Amino acid sequence: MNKRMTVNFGIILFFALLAIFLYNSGKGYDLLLDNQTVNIDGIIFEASGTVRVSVDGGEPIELWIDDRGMTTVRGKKHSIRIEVLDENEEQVISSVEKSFVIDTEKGNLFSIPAILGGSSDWVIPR
Amino acid sequence: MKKIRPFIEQVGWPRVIIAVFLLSLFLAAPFVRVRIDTSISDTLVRFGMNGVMVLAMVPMIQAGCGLNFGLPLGIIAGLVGAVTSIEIGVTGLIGVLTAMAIAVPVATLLGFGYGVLLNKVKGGEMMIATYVGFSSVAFMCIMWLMLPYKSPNMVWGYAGAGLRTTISVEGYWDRAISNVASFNIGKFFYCPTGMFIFFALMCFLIWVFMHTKTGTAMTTVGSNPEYARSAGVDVDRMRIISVILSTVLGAIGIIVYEQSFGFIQLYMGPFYMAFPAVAAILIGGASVHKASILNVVIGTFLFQGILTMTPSVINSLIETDMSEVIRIIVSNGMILYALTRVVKVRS
Amino acid sequence: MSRKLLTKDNIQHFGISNAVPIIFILLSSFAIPVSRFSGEYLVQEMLVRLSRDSFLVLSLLIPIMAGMGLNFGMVLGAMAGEIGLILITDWNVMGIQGMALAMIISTPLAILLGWMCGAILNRAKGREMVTSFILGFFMNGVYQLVVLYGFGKVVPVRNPQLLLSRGFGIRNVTNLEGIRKCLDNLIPLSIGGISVPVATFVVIALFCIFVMWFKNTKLGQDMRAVGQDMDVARSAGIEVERTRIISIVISTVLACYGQIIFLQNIGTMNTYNSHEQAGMFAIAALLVGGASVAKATIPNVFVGVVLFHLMFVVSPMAGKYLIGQAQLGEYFRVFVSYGIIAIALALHAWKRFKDRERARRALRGNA
Repeated sequence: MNKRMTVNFGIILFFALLAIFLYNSGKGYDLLLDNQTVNIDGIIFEASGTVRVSVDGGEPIELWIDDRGMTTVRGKKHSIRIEVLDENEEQVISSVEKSFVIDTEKGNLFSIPAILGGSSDWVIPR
Repeated sequence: MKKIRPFIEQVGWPRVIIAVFLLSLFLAAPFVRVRIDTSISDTLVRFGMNGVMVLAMVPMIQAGCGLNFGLPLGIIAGLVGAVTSIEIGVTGLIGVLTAMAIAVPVATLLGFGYGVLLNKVKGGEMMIATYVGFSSVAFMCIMWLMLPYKSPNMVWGYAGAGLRTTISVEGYWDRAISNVASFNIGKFFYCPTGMFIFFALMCFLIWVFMHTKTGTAMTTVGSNPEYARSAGVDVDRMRIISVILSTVLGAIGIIVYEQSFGFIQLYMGPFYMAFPAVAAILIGGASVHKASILNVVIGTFLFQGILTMTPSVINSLIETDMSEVIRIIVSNGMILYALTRVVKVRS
Repeated sequence: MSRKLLTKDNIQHFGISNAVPIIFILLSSFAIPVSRFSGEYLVQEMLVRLSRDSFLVLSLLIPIMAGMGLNFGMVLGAMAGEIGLILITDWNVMGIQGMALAMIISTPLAILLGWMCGAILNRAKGREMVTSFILGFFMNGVYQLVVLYGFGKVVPVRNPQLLLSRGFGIRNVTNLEGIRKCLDNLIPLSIGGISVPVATFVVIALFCIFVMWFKNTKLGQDMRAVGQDMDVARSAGIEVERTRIISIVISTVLACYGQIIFLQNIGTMNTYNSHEQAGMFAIAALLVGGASVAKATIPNVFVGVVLFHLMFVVSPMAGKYLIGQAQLGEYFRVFVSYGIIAIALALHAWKRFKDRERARRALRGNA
């Protein structure tokens, strides 16, 4: 009987852990991608031009100056790739790739100019 | 205290709880600004409306056919009668009686077929009755669309054919029975005397029938089929008679309901109508095998009382409409209680 | 007893036990050409519906094995599944993870409800079906109480899109966009323009294997013994009540998973109606497949789902072309789904009644 208790307990524990894992890896977050001039801690990052953004290598979103886009991701760890386009919006001038971990406390607004400007703090609370 | 316990056990716990609940609702009503006279009047009206349909449970239970979940079959016969009487265009009390006169033969016919079917499936009546009720309602949905009724008050305006989902009986026989010798006290209290007289008459007829030779034979079939058979009673015939009687009462019941309600509800309207009637008679103290007219009267009053009082009182008390949920839980809980109790008594 | 009588009995027996599928095949063969649907469309529809409904229908098999008839109480499982789905939608857990999480959350609830259902049915032996049927209605009331009044008040729900404007209670329609078709599209496959939900079929196949394996376990054998004769089983030392409860618990849990699979395919959930329909359609489909109240096999399930849903898809259009009213076809299919249950139940009860009569006659003849 004692062995059975242990087994049952083990099963419950397994499923509880599985549930936590599924929760963490499956929870969806809405990310706002923002291509506006922004002021972070006194430093002004200018929006420089049209950018093409893709998160986790997904469908790219094109953002003009002062544009804002939204994408939904699943789980906490992600990478973001930004391609800056020329004036004709055809050629890629430069690209930046960053990885990040979502922290709901910090916010979900991502400032593209801040990323391009090399700021370490580019997540803004909404 | 010593006297209370056996009393409660004799009456049955669920009944006591429901009666106390209803009483507390009436007592609470004035405090939440619900008019007590309106409440009582509404309860009385609904009691009269539903009484005959609850009475329709008695013959089948007594003959051992179980709870009549196939009540919609009778209701359909009643609807055919009602719709036809409007098509003919008779009004007033004569109109209602015409509707009944048309409905009764239809119900007899349907009831006969239904009875023959139930005789073939002894032991599984209730489940089959439920689905016979459901499928007959669905079948009539097709018929309501197809039958050649013409009265512009009943058919869809744009198509000129097919009956509407609700048909008003205003101008035909709205409250034709209710208003016989009815009276008002003050502005809010209305007593549908005619409906009570009619209900009492029905109860009396059933009571008389139950005490005739056929009636007692029927009860014997229900309580002890083997004994009945050895005593030379034709069991199948008795059961068919009981089913016909139940179906006819269902047909009359729905007409009484409609003349008070003011509308005929077609299509999926009668779908779930068996359940409140079943719940009511069980609340009144009937079991799956035994039911009396007293059970009908008490049960209908308690059940309809709760249905009338909960929306008004509970709503003003917690400002949320929970009446529907309470209705579902009380009625089905009651049926569940009755179904699980029988076996315990038997074993 | 003469040989001739035996064969006549056999033919009658075949007719009775297969009457329902025969009627259905005849009806469909008439209605399909009338409806003017293309074969490709119908094949695609049937595949979708097979993947969507089979699991729910399969969950009915085990109580039938235990002699408890059609488990109308499977709606309890469906309710448990829906509560799981509401929660993951609120937490915004998406994709296959969301679906798996919904299953894990609702399992304990389904076990609890199944145990309760089994215990109640043990008190209503011989009338399990009608009791589980009413129990379904009763629990629907409780479900409404919990979901319409408890969610957002007692159970925390943060997503305002789920809640009614008054601040508590879940809306009539819950959008399951996050997990829509996540299982169906897990392994994408398309044959000649017809997409096949491979992963869902894998899950269904696994479940069929489970049922076949289960039949031969000790517990499965016990269940069959209980199904045949409770008194004999009891004297053989089987704990009848416990076995019956277990069969209902398994069925309820599986119905819960079935409902989750069903709803991930649909993508939206009628918060207060989905479970009722699930029960009715599953039972009708199983009966259409030629199962009876006492005997149901895996082929019955698949044949039933295909035949029933063929009728379901075809009849509104058939009604439209035949009489000019699609509404008529709608009513017709409602009539057919209820009528089929009525006929199947009646045939079964009639057969049982006749068997009993025959046994009695034989007894009298010997005496």
